[in-house]
Amino acid sequence: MTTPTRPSARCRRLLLELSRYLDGDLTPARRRTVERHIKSCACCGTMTARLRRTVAACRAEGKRRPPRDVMSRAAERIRILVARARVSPD
Amino acid sequence: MKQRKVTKTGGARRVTNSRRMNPVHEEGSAEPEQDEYTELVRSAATGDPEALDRLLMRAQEVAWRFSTSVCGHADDAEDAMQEALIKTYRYVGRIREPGAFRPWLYRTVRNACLMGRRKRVGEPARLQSLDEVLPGPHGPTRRDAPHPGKNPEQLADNAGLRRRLRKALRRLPAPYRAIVFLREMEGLSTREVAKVMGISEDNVKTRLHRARVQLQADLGRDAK
Repeated sequence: MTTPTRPSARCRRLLLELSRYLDGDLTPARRRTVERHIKSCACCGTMTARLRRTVAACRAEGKRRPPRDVMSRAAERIRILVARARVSPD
Repeated sequence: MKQRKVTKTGGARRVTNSRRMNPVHEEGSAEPEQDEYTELVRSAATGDPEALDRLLMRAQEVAWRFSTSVCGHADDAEDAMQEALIKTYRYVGRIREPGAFRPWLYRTVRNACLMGRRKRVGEPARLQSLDEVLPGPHGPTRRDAPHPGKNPEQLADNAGLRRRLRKALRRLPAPYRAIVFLREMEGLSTREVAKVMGISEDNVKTRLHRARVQLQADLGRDAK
């Protein structure tokens, strides 16, 4: 693998495809081309690894549950709404 | 088996709506949850009180997460939750297409958050340029390199990383932040995100990529 240098025009073009590569959104032939380039280019290899880690970090952060007091108020709002709707359906 | 459809856009051949070899996303990762929503909506629409209760709770949870993650102000979250609750309750009774519920819910929540959202002082209006975030002698390799030996997977449970990620997310312009939230954190498909945001799928992919590039640069910088 080459040492990181100023990104070439090819690297810049490939950068635009890296997310599509990570999302499995490239054709098999294009994916193989990108993989070959990533293995031989430090700049794009580094960027791919960082993007992969960034996506993983976002996933880990996803789907937080609200705090207990917020959940209690949410449940209470549902109870009130449903009870009111029963009394006056319209 | 899904159909493989190959399109050609901007010189790059892409695969859409296909079973994909996926280095990051698990294949069809958004689908089980979509199915779960569809079932829940169907049951709620036929008068199952338990399903309705769960659906209304979920709508409020989504509103809370969107409000705190994208709009960034906990004060607005309860208003957004109330709005999501009432609209979902009204919507369930006249739902025709249970599969369309999830994008509808996120769109509703997004609108509720945007309506109540005050213009934040200092909110970024644009992303950094490519040169500011690319690895290389003039890019973040020199000044933004991640801490050696640490990576976000290893630190996924680490409070420090979570704090840095939230900080990095706040630096993104709001529309980009919304896309990261919907796609990466909530697991919506590209098509669903496009529906929620009212933009094309290609636009979603482009914005998501730009957001990821900026996030990786910010995470690397903050790790130093």
